[in-house]
Amino acid sequence: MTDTDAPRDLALIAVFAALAAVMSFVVIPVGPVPITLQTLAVILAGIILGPVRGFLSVALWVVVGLIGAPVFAGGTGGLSTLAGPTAGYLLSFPFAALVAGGLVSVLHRAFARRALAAAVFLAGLVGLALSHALGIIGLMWSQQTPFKDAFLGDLMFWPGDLAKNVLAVVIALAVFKAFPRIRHGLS
Amino acid sequence: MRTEIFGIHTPGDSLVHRTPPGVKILAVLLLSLIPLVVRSPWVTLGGLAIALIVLFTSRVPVRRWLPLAWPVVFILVVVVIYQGIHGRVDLMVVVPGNVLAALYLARALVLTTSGPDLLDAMSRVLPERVALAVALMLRSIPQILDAMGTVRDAARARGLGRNPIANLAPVIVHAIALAQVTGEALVARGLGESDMLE
Repeated sequence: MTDTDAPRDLALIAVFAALAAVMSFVVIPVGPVPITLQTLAVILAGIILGPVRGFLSVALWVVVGLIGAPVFAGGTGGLSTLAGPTAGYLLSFPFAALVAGGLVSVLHRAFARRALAAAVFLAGLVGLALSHALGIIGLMWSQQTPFKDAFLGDLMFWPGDLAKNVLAVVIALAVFKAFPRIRHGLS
Repeated sequence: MRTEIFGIHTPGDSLVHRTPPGVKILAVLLLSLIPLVVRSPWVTLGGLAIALIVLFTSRVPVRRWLPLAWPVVFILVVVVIYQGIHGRVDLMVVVPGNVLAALYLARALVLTTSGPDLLDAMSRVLPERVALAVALMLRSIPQILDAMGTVRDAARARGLGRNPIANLAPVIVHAIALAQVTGEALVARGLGESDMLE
């Protein structure tokens, strides 16, 4: 990485952190369950920026929110999300971006550089699965509830996340086409 | 760099307004963290009371700080119902109480502190590049929100108002273009150069 890459990477990290904030403000009701586009932003940060920049970007958003800026779902900030049942999800997000971003390169190579869409979909799915696993642990801790209840509670976020993962694939492919050099080695 | 956190700062001359930003950040973190660790209904109610007292003494109009968005209300209602069914009155108080206390404390912070003052306080403790990233992030939020509005109008005009791809893909492309322009501006000014990612 050369000297002038650092400021460019910094800008991408900051803007994708902003994107995660904006996607947190978008609320789509699925029945009574309010779904935000948070996980879409998290997966896209990993897939588009790669594991390191993706992790740093999502971590920046999480830390700025925890300090108090109203950048989380519903325009909240501070430690409120840590105090609630969804703490595990929030803390999982940087790692979901890391895993999705790392895995997409590995899978793309494994698929002999064909089927980028499949690589993105699977990488996103594994990232989401990690997020849900840590989310369930957070639910069990916060609600002092058995695994079974936490697991069932977590299920309500899966339909939205699967839909968002499909969206992530379409968007990521469009981005790789528009900005071929954004991730070396992909597309 | 001028940054206002979504224009929610409400200037005033109350004691809360005049408290140094760094002190406020630490107080908010500490007061939010204690009930989270202790998990006792009385500590939680104490934390919530402090948050409300701080907001009232800031003399910021109640309608500016009280409302809660639907995602927050939904989660709290689910918690109260679930814990009610299981007869855990303590958790019915502790979890929503801690969420509200932390939420309102954070709100008191951003309502009574200007964006630049908050950034100044942070940049005194954060490494320069991290502070720069925070400033760039906060500055980018209104720009991405603007792009989102423009993209939504364009999608509607094409009869694709409900198409998620038409509503979202151009926003992401806009955001990356914004990042690239910002990156070039940083390079031109010699800012953000480092070995941060090496």
